[in-house]
Amino acid sequence: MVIDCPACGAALMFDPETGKMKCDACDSLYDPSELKDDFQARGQKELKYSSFDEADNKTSTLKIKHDDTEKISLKLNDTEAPAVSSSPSQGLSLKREEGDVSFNPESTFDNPVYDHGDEASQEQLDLDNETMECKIYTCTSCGAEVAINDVEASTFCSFCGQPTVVFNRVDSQRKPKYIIPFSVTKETAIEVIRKRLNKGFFVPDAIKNFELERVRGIYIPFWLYDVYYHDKQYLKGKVGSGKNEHTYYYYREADCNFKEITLDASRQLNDESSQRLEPYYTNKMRPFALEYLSGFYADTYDVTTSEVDTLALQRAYALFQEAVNETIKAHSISVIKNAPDYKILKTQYAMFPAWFLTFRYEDVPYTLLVNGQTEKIVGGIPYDRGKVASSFAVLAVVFSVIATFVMYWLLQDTDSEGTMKLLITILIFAGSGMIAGFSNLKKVKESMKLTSSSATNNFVKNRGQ
Amino acid sequence: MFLLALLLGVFIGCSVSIFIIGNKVAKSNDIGNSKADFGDFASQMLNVIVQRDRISKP
Repeated sequence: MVIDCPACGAALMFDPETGKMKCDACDSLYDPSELKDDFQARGQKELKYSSFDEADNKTSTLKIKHDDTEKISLKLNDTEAPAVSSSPSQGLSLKREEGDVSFNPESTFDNPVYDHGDEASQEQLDLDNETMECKIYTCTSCGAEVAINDVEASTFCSFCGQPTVVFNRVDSQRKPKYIIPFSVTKETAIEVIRKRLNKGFFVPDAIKNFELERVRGIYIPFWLYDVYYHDKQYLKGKVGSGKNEHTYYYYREADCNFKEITLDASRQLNDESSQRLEPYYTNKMRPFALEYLSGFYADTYDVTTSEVDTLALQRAYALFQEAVNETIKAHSISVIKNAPDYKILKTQYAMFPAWFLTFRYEDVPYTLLVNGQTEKIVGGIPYDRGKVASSFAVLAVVFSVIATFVMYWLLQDTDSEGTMKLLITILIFAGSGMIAGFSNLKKVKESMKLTSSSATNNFVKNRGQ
Repeated sequence: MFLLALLLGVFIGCSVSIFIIGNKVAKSNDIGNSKADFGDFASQMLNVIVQRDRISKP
């Protein structure tokens, strides 16, 4: 269904520049909240959402004890410091009424570490059991039949290009609580990418002058987690270097409240890509309104909270550890024993904006992402092999000549212990540098793989315009 | 002696070049390779309750 302009009847689209609904035909601007009233006044179908407010306020603590407010609690065997007896490498032994479960923050979290319990899981089960099917909708503008992806909430009509909002689909899904509307226009997204690519010395000229195959503004579904994290840790770290290096032990007890940790709720979009789009500034979130979707694509979630609970805890642990390590004046810090205690305080469903820009290079499609709020660009660009090879050759010749003379000079005095030490140190540094260089090249290749992955490409491709 | 110096020199030269090229390529072509950090999600600073440095091995 198209949201009509009250003045001329043409299709309205959300305008990121003004933050209002804009009619391209008569240039009228409308506040989304005004339109809502008008929408109802004209007798058009208003959405009826199931109420998930209770679910939004769900408290899922890791204490694995259930009560009427869907609390799940899980108690540590022994949380009293300093009697911390668990090892992070082996996982913690946690106790609950039904038996022991284990939590290893560094594991891959393939399996949830706790159960929501009968009452709490009922709502989750209802959502999980929903059938996902492709449906056919009629475009209200041209009458064409439009096939909608089973998780897509709004789309353009493939035939007439009208911004058609598919109300029935959104109706059957959980309503997002918040949305960050697009504040970056399509033109801005293209411009920032062009500017960034032109700065890249190793970006091939063909890419610098890329021709876009597709540009899509897509609202990505996210789960927002509020997590309380508390831990008692024994850590070790090293101070100094070489012969003066010493290992010291430390103890820390700390806690922290994390607010709105973002986890993407779309199975189609790679987690790595969505995490690189971060941060989204959630203080700019607005209550969800369908009007914001007009003119953009939107996916509803197809990953439930039960599937990402452990991922949320894993991220909370990583963030917590990052902060704890900063309180220790040492390097090579590692946790040797700990006793974490954590609670998932709240989960909320929100939609965040991103631009997906696809271009081809050597017949391979690459999709760059632009955060629709902050303009942050995400993607791995293929490098110009010729430039890389020639730069390497020039540098290698220059440094090899210099290093050969230095080595020749040092080798004249191999009897001296100091000279030998210097020689060995130089060789170790050189070897480490080579490993670091290859590691960086590997990371670029991994990013390129992500940018050209069929999953990311299909996330954008399967939408008509 | 010179041959050994040449071999070591080429090794060091290539290593330094790979290090520089690897960094430059990553800077030029790996865009947005960062994720949100502690400050983006923490509603307050880390609340350190107990802090003991250089204790004996537990």
